[in-house]
Amino acid sequence: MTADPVVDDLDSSRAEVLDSFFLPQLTAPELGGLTWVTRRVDGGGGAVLLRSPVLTPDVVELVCDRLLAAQAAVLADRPVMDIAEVVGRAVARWYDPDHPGRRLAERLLPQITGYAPDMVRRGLKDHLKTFRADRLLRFLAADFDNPLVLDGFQPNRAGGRSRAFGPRLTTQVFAGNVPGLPAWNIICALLVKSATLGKSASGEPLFPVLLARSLAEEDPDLGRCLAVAPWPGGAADVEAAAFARSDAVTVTGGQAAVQSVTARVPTGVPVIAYGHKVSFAVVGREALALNRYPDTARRVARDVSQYDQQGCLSPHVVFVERDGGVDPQTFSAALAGEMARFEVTRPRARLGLADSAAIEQVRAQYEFRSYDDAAGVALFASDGTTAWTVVHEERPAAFTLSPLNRVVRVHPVSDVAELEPLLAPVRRYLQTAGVACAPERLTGWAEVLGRCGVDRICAVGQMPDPAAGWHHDGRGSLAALVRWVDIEGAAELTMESYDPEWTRPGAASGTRNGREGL
Amino acid sequence: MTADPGAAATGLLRDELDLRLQALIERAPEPGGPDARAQDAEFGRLALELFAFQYEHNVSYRRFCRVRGAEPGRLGDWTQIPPVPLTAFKELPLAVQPPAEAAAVFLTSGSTDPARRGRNHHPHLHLYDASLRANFAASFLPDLDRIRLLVLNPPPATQPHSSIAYFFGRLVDFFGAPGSDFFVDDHGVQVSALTAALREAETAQVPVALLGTSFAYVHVLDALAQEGLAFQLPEGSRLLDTGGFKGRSREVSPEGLRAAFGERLGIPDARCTNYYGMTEISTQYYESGLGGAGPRPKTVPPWARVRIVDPVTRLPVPDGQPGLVVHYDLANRGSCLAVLSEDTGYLVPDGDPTSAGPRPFVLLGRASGSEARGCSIAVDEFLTAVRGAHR
Amino acid sequence: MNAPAASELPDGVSGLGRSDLLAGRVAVVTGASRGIGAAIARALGAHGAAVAVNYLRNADRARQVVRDIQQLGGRAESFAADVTDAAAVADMVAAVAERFGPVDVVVNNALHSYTFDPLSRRTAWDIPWADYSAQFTGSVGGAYTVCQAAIPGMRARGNGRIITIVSDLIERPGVPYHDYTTAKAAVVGFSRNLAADLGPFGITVNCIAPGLVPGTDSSAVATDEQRDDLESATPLRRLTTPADVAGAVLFFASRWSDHVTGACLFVDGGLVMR
Repeated sequence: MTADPVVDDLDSSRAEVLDSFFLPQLTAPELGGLTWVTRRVDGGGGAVLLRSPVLTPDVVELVCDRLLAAQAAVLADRPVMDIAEVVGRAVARWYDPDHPGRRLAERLLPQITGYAPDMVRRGLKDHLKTFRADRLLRFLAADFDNPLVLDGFQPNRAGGRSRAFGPRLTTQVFAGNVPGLPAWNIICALLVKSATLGKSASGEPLFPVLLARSLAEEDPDLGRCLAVAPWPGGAADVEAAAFARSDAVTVTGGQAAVQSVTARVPTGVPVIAYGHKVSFAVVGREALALNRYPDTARRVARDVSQYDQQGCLSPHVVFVERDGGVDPQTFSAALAGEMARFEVTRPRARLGLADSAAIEQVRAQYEFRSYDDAAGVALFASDGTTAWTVVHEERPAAFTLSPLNRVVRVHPVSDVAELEPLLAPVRRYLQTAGVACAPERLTGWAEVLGRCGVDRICAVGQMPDPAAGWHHDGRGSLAALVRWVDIEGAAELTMESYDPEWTRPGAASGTRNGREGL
Repeated sequence: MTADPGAAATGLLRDELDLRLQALIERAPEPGGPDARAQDAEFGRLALELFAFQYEHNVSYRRFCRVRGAEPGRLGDWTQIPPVPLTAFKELPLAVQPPAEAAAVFLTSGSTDPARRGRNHHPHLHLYDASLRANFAASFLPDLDRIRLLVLNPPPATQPHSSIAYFFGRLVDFFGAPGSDFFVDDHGVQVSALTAALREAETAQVPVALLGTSFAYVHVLDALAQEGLAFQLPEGSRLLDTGGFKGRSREVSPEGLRAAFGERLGIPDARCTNYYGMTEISTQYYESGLGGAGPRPKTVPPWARVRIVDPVTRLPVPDGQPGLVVHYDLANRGSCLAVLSEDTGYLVPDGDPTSAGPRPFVLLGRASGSEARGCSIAVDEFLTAVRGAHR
Repeated sequence: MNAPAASELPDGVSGLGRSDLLAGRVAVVTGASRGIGAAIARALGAHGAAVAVNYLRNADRARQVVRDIQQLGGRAESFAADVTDAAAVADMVAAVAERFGPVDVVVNNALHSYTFDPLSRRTAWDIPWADYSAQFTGSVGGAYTVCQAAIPGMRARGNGRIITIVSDLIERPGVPYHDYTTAKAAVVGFSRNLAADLGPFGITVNCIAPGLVPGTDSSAVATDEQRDDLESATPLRRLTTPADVAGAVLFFASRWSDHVTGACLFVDGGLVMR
């Protein structure tokens, strides 16, 4: 993926120029006074030219101040259910296939990212379903026994009352690997009444802008609490200005980005980091029955192939139980067949030299290992391309990462307990486990997988689509943002002794005297 | 030629083919000279013969070739010889003779995966020696028969499986004037001995040649800077370095390194040469076009060819376009003459596309490691983390 | 992959041309020493496949087919095996894999010895069960044996093409060769069941049903009158040639038929339309 800054010699006759920012805080004259750049982004699907102002620390300060003012004026005291309803309505606009933002996204995101158009279209639709108005209630319910704690002090179990204050302003560094992902960040912040200053990712800067526009169209007040713009990753002066005015920072990205941001956020400002994560699938023997295995393979193939395996939700490895209706190697072959079929309708993005070479290296390695019949290795690979690769490996030395772009390893296991030693070295990085097994085994598996470090267990075939309210990376998406204020129960009782009836000079005795006087 | 590898006695490889290979290497005239075309044809013939030999005597390679439809007798020219990926040297016994009979087995440094190291088997080292000798004389020491060699690497006896140690050791044997020595031992670079040797060369006005890995030089330069030392080595002194910083924590650009050589050692830019070699082949490529700005192309000697290919199709990419570097090295008798590297580079566009002989190329770097987008973990980062967790 | 460019070579086979269409593919053609099988083998070789020319007895003619393919710059080797002998077939498939790599394409063409004589054929009222049984063993059994040997390798590679030659008599028994035709019809059923089970692995299974192919050993005793009658009944007004069949095999062996499985293609000039 390339994103070369281009300033002047644009061939704009062939590519359209789009605004890749959302800054309603600035007036037209203010925007006009800024320096502008146009970037050419081409993920292999055709160039798109994206125009945005260059953010300086001064501009960021101005935007942050206005975000804070807007938050105080229109968001801080807005009932949470009201916000959820408005957000739900804004997202619902996207369910209309003719919604201009959706049409723009469906047309341009494949160009920008190189992802297959059909994959983006269906992926966005599935993703946005997570934010229907009723599902937003699940986000609230997942993290708060009583969501009204976001509106005021509510009784807590400890005998007092509590209120959850969201940040007034959250700086959010968005990811660009999977289109639509920033919706999660933006919406979660709004539900806890935080304004967002979002840094869009160079890989996919468009979607958060389109979503912010929809929210603003539905409710201009909410729109005033959102700002999205690109700036160079790690730009210390810009980010220092933003962090200084933020009550929280979220960052989604690689270890380097996370560390860099974490190191620069002022003490006392919480950083919610969504770093690199690794997922895998476990297929039980029940899902290998002769009347189930083709469908199981299809589901796993989708999990691997969706967004070209770029998401942290994408499996690197599939563990397959022995003694099913088909043996694990047959399942590998069926998985290969399904990967090939997925490629026909939703072809993988074109790769650069290094990514192609990485896949070829893995393939060569396993081709040579497969020469030894005793090695228990079989290689299934697309013919003449790197489009998909399935490596069947009976005895893996370790949990080995995929070079991504639809390369998956299949390892047979006799029992889910065998996973523990393999997963131990990567436990800090584990995220989703897609599973397929008999219902009575689900809980047992979940116990093992949870112990290994997994934080999400879903059915195979649903790995790319976390349910509304998921404790993202093991934390509450909303709970991580809020700051609790508790009124202690003892305080409430003690306050009784300061009841004006007892403490107003003269009043108490006067009353008593008066009563006595009657 | 026998079809039965079991019949391969130790002496088998000093056969007529071997002698013709050696003759090609030792003839080594100027590339582009009058008999370049004849030499090109001889390269092609020998390559196909060597391929047939390696196909016959190397079971793993034969299987690799058969899957790709390549058999001796069916190939029209050397460009159709299937190159083995580097990983084959790790995964397979790639040897034309029983490995136990090898005169030398060189192992890769294993910088990316210590568990699995590539192995290149050499039934004998006559061709390896001929290659390094002809190349060094032509590319690095055209003006002298011998020079005092200061080697920033351990002596070969202490590292019997290192191709670099062997290479530097043989250079000392063939080209070392009195006073040549090795300045690295188990404890690292012997800085004081080295500075003494440099001081002596400076004082006595004896030109020296330093040989070493870029990594070793960085250590030396750091040590000299720390002690505030700088030398003005006499006219004719020169420096050879190799490699980048695979798996090392620190990276220095070639330009930065050469500037430091000038500053600390007094060796001018034009006398600093980088060469590129790999354990899996038997020939080194030296920088050409000394001096000047921009990337310095590497020269390919007449007994080798380099092609730049697309990683997937394995077909050549246009001149100037980056791709994977493929080596065709006739000195690599004992394993495979055609090797697909994991390095990227491009061929220097040639004014005359019909000209015969090998073409120079510019090396860009390693192609390994995915440029993973987004939040799925990058492989190297992961490996680092896992190793860290084991400590 | 390394075959000389197609354009450098003369047109090899029966007007079917040459190409790299099947470059890198490995095909086994059973009963390929003569007739339709030889034409199929040459066509596959001319289009880039490495061809295993299977034969039962006629080693010289099999070697000639191999030489024909090699002269065109193709790759081929002859392999003797009785297709109804599971051990012999397994050995052959292993030998082919050793020689050329795993088998991608199987063409079941071998025919259990049968005399097509419209005048001396058995009738419905005198054919013994043993005749049916022998034909089942030869046609279904032969296809079964070869497929059993080839399927593991195909499944391991996630692709494969199984092509079985039957006969248009299964739809239009112009001459009722009861045992032969019934067994061939059974082969179509056999193939469709394979297609259903092997589809998930990217293996396609198809049949080709040729009309009468004059000039082959099997058709030698067909009468001139019978041929004339067939020609005039055929919309395309001629009988079937080995090249016609080979063309259909190229289609089923190549990526041109990627999305076709369980089919039975009638190659008989329109005599049977379905």
